[in-house]
Amino acid sequence: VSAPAYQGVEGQALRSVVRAFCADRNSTAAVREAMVSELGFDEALWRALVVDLGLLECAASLDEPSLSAIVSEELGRALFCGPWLSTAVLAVPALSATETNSWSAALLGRLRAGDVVATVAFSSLEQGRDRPSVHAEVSGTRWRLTGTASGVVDGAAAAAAVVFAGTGDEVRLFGVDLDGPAVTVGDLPTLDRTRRQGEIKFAGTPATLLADVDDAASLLARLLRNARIQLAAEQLGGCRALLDIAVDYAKVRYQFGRPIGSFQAIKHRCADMLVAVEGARSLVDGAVEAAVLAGELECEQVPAAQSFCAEAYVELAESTIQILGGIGITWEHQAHLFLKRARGSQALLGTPLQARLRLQRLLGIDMPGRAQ
Amino acid sequence: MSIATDGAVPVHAGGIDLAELTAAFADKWAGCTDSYELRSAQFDAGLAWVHFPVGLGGLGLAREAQQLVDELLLERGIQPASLGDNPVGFGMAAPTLLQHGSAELKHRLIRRIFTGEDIWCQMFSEPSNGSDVAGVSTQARRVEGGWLVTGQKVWTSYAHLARYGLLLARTDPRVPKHRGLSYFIADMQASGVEVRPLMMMTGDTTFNEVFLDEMFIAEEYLLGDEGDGWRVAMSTLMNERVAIGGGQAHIAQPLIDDWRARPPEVDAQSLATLREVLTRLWIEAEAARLTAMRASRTAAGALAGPEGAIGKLWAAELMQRAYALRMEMALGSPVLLPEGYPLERHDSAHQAFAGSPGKSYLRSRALTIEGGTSEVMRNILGERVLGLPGEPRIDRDVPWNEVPRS
Repeated sequence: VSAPAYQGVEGQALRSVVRAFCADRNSTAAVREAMVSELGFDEALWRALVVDLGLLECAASLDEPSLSAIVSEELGRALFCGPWLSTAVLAVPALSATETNSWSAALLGRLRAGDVVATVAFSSLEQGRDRPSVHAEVSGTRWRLTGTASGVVDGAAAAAAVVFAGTGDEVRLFGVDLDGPAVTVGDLPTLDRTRRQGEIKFAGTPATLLADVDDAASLLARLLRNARIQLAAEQLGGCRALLDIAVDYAKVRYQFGRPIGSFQAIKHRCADMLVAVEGARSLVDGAVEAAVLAGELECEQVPAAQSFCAEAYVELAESTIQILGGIGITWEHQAHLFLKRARGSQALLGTPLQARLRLQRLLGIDMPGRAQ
Repeated sequence: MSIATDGAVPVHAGGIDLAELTAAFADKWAGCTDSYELRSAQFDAGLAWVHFPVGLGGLGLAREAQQLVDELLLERGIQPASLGDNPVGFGMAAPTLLQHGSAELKHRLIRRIFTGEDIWCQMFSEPSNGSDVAGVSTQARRVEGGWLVTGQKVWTSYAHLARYGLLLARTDPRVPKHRGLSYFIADMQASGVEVRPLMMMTGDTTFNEVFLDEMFIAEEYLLGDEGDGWRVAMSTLMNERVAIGGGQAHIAQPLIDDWRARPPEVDAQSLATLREVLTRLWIEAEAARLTAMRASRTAAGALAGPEGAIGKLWAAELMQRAYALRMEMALGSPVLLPEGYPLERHDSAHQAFAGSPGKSYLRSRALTIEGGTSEVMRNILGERVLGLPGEPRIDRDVPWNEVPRS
């Protein structure tokens, strides 16, 4: 048994590279600037991450989520607002899996050059719906899409989208150029401005078939599983940043003649935050390891990590704001940026409750009277 | 601040081929039914605690290699020794002796812990000193060749079975509390030792009270220097937390198994709510289990850090939730207590989920109090792991005999 890559030298080196990159170029001031810009992120910074650091490479494989989980965690810790989730975590593996298609291959080339951003539209399948909200029709060999995909990560900034669309129970995978005809894209006025979500309206939009029914179903499951692990890792990173903010402040803020961290009311809250951070770390590691071993199968640790990390992030943000007191509820302090990211990511790939419903099926407690 | 993640242990560890070593051992001992013979041989082969030094039951390897050795032995029909065989001996006495004992004591006593010849107990707590362990009142008075100890200890598991006890006593009441303590090994068969069962709210006697009346302790049984007992005691307490919290069983899995065998017989809405509560508990228990696994992999050698408090804190609170939920799932019968209250000594060790839901629930209330209260655990995490400042202390620089006490 050899140690997983992320625990080894390669993983540690990657972590320090990403951390140094964020410390150098992704300060809170930079985040604040990017989040009010037109696209919602700094294009030069994204190009540096793609071209100079070559980080898209570690996101390409859906079977080895461990290195990308390190990147996701570190970017989450720094509240990075580039298109990591949309382009690296979602689009690149989807396109790599369908690279024999020339549309996929061409788009991959442009993504690797750092020139454009792409995304995946799950068409509400990620929210547990049985049928996609985007409809596909074929005439001869030409496919056209109709319907609306909402909550699409970086939808407005993306040049192209990989879209899950269907007819009845059948789901297929398509590629769509978002600057093409019969498609409109809007930016949703979301609470979290550090990661935009868009709405894509298809009105008989020409689309390239990338994967037929069986392949599309398998890819959907694997893409979602990987993305949920990556999002949990990002949430873990945010939790760690918040714990540091709260503890650092509790050491230097004096009231009643002593640091507030010496009061057990504050100290014990920090201790509970520490327990949550360590638990989140364990579940993310556990989900990464389980996913590597499970191959195509769903495994218990993934919905467990999704539910736990999503809720821990919100709780840690709320606790940090409480510990900060007055300064914590101002625009000036960065705590609200984390709270908004926590809320914005909580239900992004399905709600924590839906994750627990999936877990109940895996644990075999979903049906009353089910035999062992 | 965080528990580092270590890689899995290779079968070849520290230049030693563990597969070959365990195979050779198992070839010789797999059929052995005499526990003493088997454990003696295992200790001498260095397969008892591989992170201990050669000659003291180990091979000088990393702690995490033990898990691999246990698995390899089990594959070949040898049941690993468990903490439950001699909890204080395994979990506290052996690591404390290793760290602070003289060479002579180590070689005389550690082997007998593993073989089960000597059961151990720990005598820190007193009626007047629970969380404030350093406030110990039991006095050790210097006499020719050693000390005479007088006082009362409480919550002493295994005292009625133990050959030796780890004892914290005050050798100097005129200095501040932490500085006047010394750490001894007490011979539980010495004269002046009386052990009485302590009746718990469950009607069982899992603990004892120990009365010490001029018990003699010889010079050689002092661990560390006179007055240095607090430092030695801290290492025992850290090991205790690893021992208590280090369990890697899944706390909620038994409830899942119960549910699958026989779901609670309630209306659909109640069932959905119970299912949600159970699923949340399962997720947290899985997080705690994986965290305990990480902690045990990284606790270097025989040393245990303040991070051990995470496992103790979390496991205790999760178990309380699990036992409370088990009562709710036993709808209709949670008020039944078929075992009754025996109100007499009874030596079966506490086993998770043994007994009726009501009995386990009552027992579980002790979990957040024994072995360091949850409040103390949170102080340790806050102060020693996160580096937050301590509470103002009014007794730190005052001679122990001038501090107010109840």
